[in-house]
Parts: sequence; structure tokens; C-alpha cells
Amino acid sequence: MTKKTVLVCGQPGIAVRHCLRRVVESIPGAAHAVFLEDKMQEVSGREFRSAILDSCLREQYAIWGQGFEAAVTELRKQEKHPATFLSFHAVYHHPRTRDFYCPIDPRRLQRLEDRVKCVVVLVDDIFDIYSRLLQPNEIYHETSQQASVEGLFAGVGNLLEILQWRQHEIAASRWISMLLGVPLVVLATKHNVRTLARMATRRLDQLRLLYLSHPITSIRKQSARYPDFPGEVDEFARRVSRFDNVVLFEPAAIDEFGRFGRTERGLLKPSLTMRWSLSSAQHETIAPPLQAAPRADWCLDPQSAYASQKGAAQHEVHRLLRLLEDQIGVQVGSRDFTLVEQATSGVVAYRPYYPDILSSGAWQELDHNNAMRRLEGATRRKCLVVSVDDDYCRNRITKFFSRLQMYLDIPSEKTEQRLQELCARWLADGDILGGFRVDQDLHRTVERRLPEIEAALPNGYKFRKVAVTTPLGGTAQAIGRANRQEGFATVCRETLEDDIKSLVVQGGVYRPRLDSRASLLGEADALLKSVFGVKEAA
Amino acid sequence: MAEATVRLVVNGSQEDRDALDVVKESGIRFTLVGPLGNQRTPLLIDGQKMHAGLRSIVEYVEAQQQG
Repeated sequence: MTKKTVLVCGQPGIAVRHCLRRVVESIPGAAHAVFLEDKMQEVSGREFRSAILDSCLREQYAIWGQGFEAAVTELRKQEKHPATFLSFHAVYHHPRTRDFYCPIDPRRLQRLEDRVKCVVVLVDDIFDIYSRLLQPNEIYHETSQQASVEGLFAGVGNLLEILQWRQHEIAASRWISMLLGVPLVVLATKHNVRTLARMATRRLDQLRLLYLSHPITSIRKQSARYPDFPGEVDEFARRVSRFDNVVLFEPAAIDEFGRFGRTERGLLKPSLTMRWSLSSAQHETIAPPLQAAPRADWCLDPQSAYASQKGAAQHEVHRLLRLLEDQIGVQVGSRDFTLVEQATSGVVAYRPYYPDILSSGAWQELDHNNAMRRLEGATRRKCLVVSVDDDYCRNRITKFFSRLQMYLDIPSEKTEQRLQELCARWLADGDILGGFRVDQDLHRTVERRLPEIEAALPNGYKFRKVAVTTPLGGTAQAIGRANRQEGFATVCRETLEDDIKSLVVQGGVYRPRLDSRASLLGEADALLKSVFGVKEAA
Repeated sequence: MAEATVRLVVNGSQEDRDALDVVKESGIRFTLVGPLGNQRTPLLIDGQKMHAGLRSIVEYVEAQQQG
């Protein structure tokens, strides 16, 4: 039997019904979605949230089994469609006991083994999920009515619960995928609707599943300095995903970390800064735009209670938001690694050195892709780095000064500050940038600029033994000269080492000297075709 | 050249310098990586295991020397 059913899981607040409607509409006449919780209502004659979820677990398991049988019967009737979806929550949350549990009967589910092609678990920004769940008749609606500071505290508690819930949902979905022996795909609903449509209607082994890696945190921290970069990444993402056989996973399709606003005194407050822009227009995303909430951060303070809070309460809110932020941060790394793993064709890194330092996230993702390649053995997992030469040269300047700080003997704070100022001047100087472009020029450039560097250092400076070999003898002056010569040689040699190069085993690094972004994108198209075998639509 | 399995990620802070000294003195073969954006503390990666911060790196080195 052809495997053409996609199991779609997701926690409440994802708006999975709306999501699947949009996906099904994007493949006219070719797909059909069945909702297991609807079938549970049909077979039991009881409303799902108010009656079924509130009953004892044994009863829920029985209703789940009956609902499952009804859902399978409907799926069989829809076999004329090339793609079908079966949607359900992998984890339930008991409204009274607040217990998380998995209602699934594995023996029944295993009967779908010859029919299911993959398990997709839909995820979304927790702030959007929470906004939906604060609406009337939803589980957190009561919190939206609290106008006191306790309402703010309860809100943070709810968001922590949503985070935990998402991890449970992903874990249970992973278990289902293992049970059925099919891939698991974690997919943010802010991806383009065709991402899921392609996985549903094509054979997975004919698609190129790619992960887009790019700097995020450093850009967010200095968003005023680099306002155009998110749009540039989005443009690149649109270009990659327009290829007919590509499914592109974009990390910024979930954007939660580092978004809380701050008071003038630097305390975290219940408001949100702008999220990373999306590569798809609102009418193209899997999830419909958030309509119920008046603004993106409404959920954090629905009754505007924070404005009237003073010192102690503000500190309390700050501490709770810091806790929430930490928990969000923990999930960022694990989620991005999961996305790299499910991108079985590999990683495309876009300008990983932008603006002047290699992105920590991009390096770790490329490293993980490489580790997966080693683990998988015979694999088609590859890697393409698309950058520009100026980013690369700036990264070399940053690395040069970083190594100086690393290797110089006990630099004072003042010396460190002088070196940082000098580094900033070099980064802004086109001539010096040129001197870091070609490997053979670097030593000469440093030699020429030595007086500038030495002016920033204390008299009689020397390199630590970690950077130089111990001198054999001679006068103090000669030893000092040899130390400095060898120290700079070490710094220059290490500056030339590219931290990404060893991670690109199958694929390539492309960093042209181009002023025009249009040319860069055009060239990238050709490389994507040759490295990954992506194809234009017929 | 065969790739060393241990990587030490550093940016240039005092904690990074201390971590480099500890690993270098231990004789463990490693590759130095960095600087990386937003990497606040030294990070030692041995295969799939990560050790973040000087204290954790010292514990790792001690365990290697004992084991």
C-alpha cells in the first residue's frame, strides 16, 4: 500500500484545524483531513474539552479507541486522495488534576504502519499559543480576566506550562514515529503552507529537506545597526524554497528567545520586542494570522496591570520573566538540533560570519550536521555555506584581536579597552579589510600596523607561554623580541584558520567578493542545484 | 590531518584564558575554536558531550587525568 497519510500532532492553541484547512486548500481536491478528537465527540456524544477530558483516564482511553476506529474508517473512505492527514493531540492535559498523559493505544496505532509516511508535530511561538488559549471557552481564559499583579504571575506560570506541554507533545510524537518506523518532523506553523503540502503529496526520498542556518541572536541584540539583515535572510529563504523539490526548515519561524522588553532600569517587563520577520506572507503561512489578540504581547498583560506596579512587584515580575526566558533558551538549542537532524539533505548556512564574527548558533548547527553525517554513514547529508568575502575578512580581524587578548600576558582592563577600540577602527577601514583578505597579505598587514597595535599595549608587553615556546637564552631584550615575534606569528597563523572549513565535508563554501546581493543570490541558485540537486518547477 | 575530537571554544575573556591554560597543561589534544558570537563562557566539546564554563572544564580535565 502507498504510504500517503501524514499524522499531525500539536498542543492546543496551535489552531491545527485552521492550519490543516489551509494546507488542504493549497492542494485542491487532492487531500483530506480527519480530526480524531472530532470522532471522539461523535462516538461518545460528548463535548471534547468540557466532558471527555474531564472524565477519568480509563474512560478517555476507551473513547480514544472508539474515536480512532471511526477515524480510520473515514481515512479508508478517502483513499482516492493522494494525501490524507490524521490529526490528534499526542498528549492530553487533565483540567482538574493538571496531569499530562498520552491517550494513545499503541496496538491500534500500529495498524496504520503501512499507511503512514511521517509524523509532523506542529509548533508555534508560545506567545501566540497563549493568546489563543486566553480566549473565551479556552483553558486559560480566567487568567485574562485577572487585573492584579497575581494575574501577571499566573500568566508566566501558564507560559511555563505551555513550554513544558510542547516538549511533552514532541516527545510523544517522537515515540509515535519510532513505533511506526517513520520520520518525525517538527514544523513551526509560520512556515509556508507548501512546506507541509510538499511533504504530504510527494515521496519524502525525492524531496530535499534542508535547514537554513544564519545569525539570529547577535542581529537581534543590535537590530538598530543591522535593520536589513532579517529581510535579506527572508529573501534568501524564499529563493531556496521556491525550488520544486525543497522543504526548507527556518529556525526563525519560532521566535521567542530574548524578546521581553525592559524598563528604564533594565528590568524585564511583560511586553515583547518585534519578532524576526517571516519569509512568507501571512496568507501563505500554515497558521492563520493571530486575530483574536489586539497585539502580539497582549497575552503577557491582558488587563494592563503592570503599568500600576511599583518597585517590589516589578522586581518580582522581572525574576519570573527571567526564569521563563531561561526555559525558552534551553528549548532553542534542542529544537534547532532537532531541525538539523530532520533536514536529511543537510544545511545551508547564509552569511554565518555576519557582521564580523562567526555565529555561535550557525557553527554549532554545522557541527551537528557534520556529526549526523558521520553517524548516518552512507548519507546524502551535505552542507553549503553562502557568504560574502567582506564578512569573512571582518571575522578575521575580530579573531586576530580575540587571540591577542587570549595570548598577551595579563592585559589590564585599559589595555583590553584600547584593543577593542582598535579592532572597531580596523573593522571600519576598507584598506585594512583588504589586508586581511588574502592569506599571504595578512602577516605583512600586521607588520605594517604593528606601531598602532603596540601603542595600545603597555611597554614591555609579552605573550604568554601558551602562545610561545620557552626561549633558550640570550639577553632580556633578545628574549623579548623573540617572544613578540613568535607571539604575533601564532596569532596570525590561528587567525588564518577557518572554524567552518573542517565542518564542510560534502558541499562547499562560497564567499565571493561581491557588492551586489542580486549576484550573490543568483550564484547561490547554481550552487544549490549542484550541491543538493534542487530543481526548478517544471 | 586527522581531526581532534576535543574542541575548546574561546573568545578571549579571563575565564577563556584560564580554561585554555588548564586544557593545554593537561596535555589533552584539542582544537581551538572561536571567537563565536554570543559565546559567554568557554565551552569544551568532546564528541557529543559539552562542558560549559571553567569549573566544568576543570572537572572534565581532572576526570580525564584520573581515568
